[in-house]
Amino acid sequence: MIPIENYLVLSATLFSIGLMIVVIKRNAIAVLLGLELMLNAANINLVAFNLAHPERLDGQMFAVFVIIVAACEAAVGLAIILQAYRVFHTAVPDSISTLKES
Amino acid sequence: MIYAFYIFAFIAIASAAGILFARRLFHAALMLLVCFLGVAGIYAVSFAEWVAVTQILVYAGGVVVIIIFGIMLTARITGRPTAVANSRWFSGTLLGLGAMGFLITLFVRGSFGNGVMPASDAKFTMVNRFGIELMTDYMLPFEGAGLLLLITLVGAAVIAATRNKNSIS
Amino acid sequence: MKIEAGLPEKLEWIQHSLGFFGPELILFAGIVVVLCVGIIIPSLRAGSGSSTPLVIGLIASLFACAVSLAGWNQETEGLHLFGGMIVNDRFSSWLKIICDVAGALTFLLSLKDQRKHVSEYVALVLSVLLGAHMLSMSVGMIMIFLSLEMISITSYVLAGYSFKQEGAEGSLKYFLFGTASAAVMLYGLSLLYGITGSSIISSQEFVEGLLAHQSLLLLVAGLLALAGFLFKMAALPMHLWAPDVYQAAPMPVVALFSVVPKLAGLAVLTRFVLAATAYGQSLIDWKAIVGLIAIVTITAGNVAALRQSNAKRMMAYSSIAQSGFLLIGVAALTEQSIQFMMFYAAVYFVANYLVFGYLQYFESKGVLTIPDFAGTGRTDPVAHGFLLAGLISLTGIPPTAGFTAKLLIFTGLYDAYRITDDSFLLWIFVPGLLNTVIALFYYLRIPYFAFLRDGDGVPAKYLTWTNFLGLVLVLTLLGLFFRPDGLMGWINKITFVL
Repeated sequence: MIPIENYLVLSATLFSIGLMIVVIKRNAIAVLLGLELMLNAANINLVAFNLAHPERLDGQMFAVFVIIVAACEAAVGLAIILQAYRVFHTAVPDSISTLKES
Repeated sequence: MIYAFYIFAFIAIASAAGILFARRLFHAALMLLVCFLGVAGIYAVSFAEWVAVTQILVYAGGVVVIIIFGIMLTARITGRPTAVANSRWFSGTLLGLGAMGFLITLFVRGSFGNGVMPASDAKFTMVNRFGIELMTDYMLPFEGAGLLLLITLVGAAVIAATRNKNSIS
Repeated sequence: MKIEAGLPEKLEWIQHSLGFFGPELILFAGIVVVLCVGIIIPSLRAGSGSSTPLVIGLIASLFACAVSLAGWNQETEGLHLFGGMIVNDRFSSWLKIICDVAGALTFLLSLKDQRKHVSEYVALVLSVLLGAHMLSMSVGMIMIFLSLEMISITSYVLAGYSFKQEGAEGSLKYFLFGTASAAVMLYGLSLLYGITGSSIISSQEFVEGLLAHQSLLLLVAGLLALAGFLFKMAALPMHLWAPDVYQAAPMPVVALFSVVPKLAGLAVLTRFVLAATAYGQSLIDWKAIVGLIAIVTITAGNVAALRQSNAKRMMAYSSIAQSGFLLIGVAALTEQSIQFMMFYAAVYFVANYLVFGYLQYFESKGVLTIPDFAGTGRTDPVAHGFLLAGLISLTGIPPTAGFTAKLLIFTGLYDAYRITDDSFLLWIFVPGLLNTVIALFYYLRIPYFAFLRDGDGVPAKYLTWTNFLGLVLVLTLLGLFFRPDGLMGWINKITFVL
């Protein structure tokens, strides 16, 4: 049997790498890659915890729905990123700033 | 089985780190594909074969393909491969490593107590059990996900439809 | 194939549940119908404007509201539907009614500026409403995540519905921030599932699991989950998206964003905090955490609003501050304080729509920033009179319902202090009152410029659609000040059990 701690360490590592990508990368698509990693980390937790409660399929079901939602998010997100790219000719959110504090 | 777990975990973590260090956006997307496959392997050794299949079909087959489309379309606008610039290296690394250290310490110090250990009789959940539950206990989220997909389609189409109109100045 | 034991009972439960799912089914039907209409009518297909879809949306949201109202007397206590993932009680019915009326008003406001892709617009607004309906009823983590994302994903698209440069930027920032907070929330929820072994936050198992694991890990998991709910409410520290999105989005959409996702987020946050405190037995003081968030949110929102010159941005910070006031009801966490919070929510909704209706009216005349309002008060006194009523209601000055609502919120807080003797409630009390004074300065800047500064002014017409709508809303605000007992009588029937 695989101890639950193994899963948790793996998910914590993936979550933190995802967080680092979100903070460090400047391109919006690269940020999206990091966000997908964070969602995957949560899914690993869900599947692992489901092992401890096999009488219901909550964790696995939750993971499947997260995958579906992540696909929706990626589709809408890429449409938005491409539109911003056409308008501003950059996919770097930091350098887009027509909306300002005034 | 534990060795398989370690191999898949190594693949997932190594390719995730690869995304962090990749110079080209396209390479990062391919690394993400490898990472998704590694995570699918983790599901497969954790008695969640249906989640593993969904992961491969939707994530590896769908999301990564969309992302690669996105990368190629943005590269077409500028006409050169997209390199990713980095910023905030210091704060990002600090935050990430801090979060990693903090979470791992919390997990390893056994705050979960005795309750959460894999049950020894865990077995592969048959796909038909999954299907029955999807149509009974989980019917509402199932239908909700269907609606969400429809709305996503509409939303993405609306954004994409403004492409060649001169509305965007 | 062997039929699983208990299967017929489950199917019967689903069938039974559908009977209490009327408003949601109506909204769903509305989405389908409006999309079909958009395909069938050729002028809509070409992308030109027509108000037919808006009327369909209006009918669907009002109909859903009527069905919620009709079910009001049946729901004496919470009904668990669809495998216990959703609970239909008066608390959620009340929020659903407010959201539906807000949706109807959004369609009315949208009638004036015909946009492109009208039928898609209506479908997206209706699915925000549907997501809010489901989120306000959700107790299962799967439904919480799914309905929260249903609101988010549609909101990302709606934020860019001006189809201008700012719209693209607003959408992009909203999307990145929203997805990040959803991922963080999901990680928190997954840990909570692991700690308790149950994905339904109202279940006995969940609460017992929390009590058995009072640890730092639980605190971290709970805070991560809260981040997602606070994002929907635009409360600190997840408020950064609000000013940019409010400035970029078209006015009816901004009005929608300022009410519907906020109240849905408030509902799920209330349920979560109630479960996390575990009937007051929890060692972690979640009420103090929410109280701290509330007070920081109010202060930061108000202070930032003082510096804004764009009217929409100012209203964004105002809505941040108002979510802080709503959170005070959760921090007190007595049945009475939650009822007062519901009253506050209703009044906030009316006043906010009044203000956004007039901001839209002035925006169409080219008045965007606060200095632009100079002199407009003399040429258009009616519009400014109504706008003033909305603004002083948001500040909380008599004779408007805003005063009553603030008074009730603080009464609820003080009563909770006397019952529980928690000193932190007093720490919320004083800065909360002081902030009402700060709010005075920025809310009254628009009337100040309009009436007391010289400027060009704008030509005015009195018999306008906006003025009619404004009159109705102003009368509601005044009526709720002089006779709040009618509405309170309804709200007193909201019994809140987990």
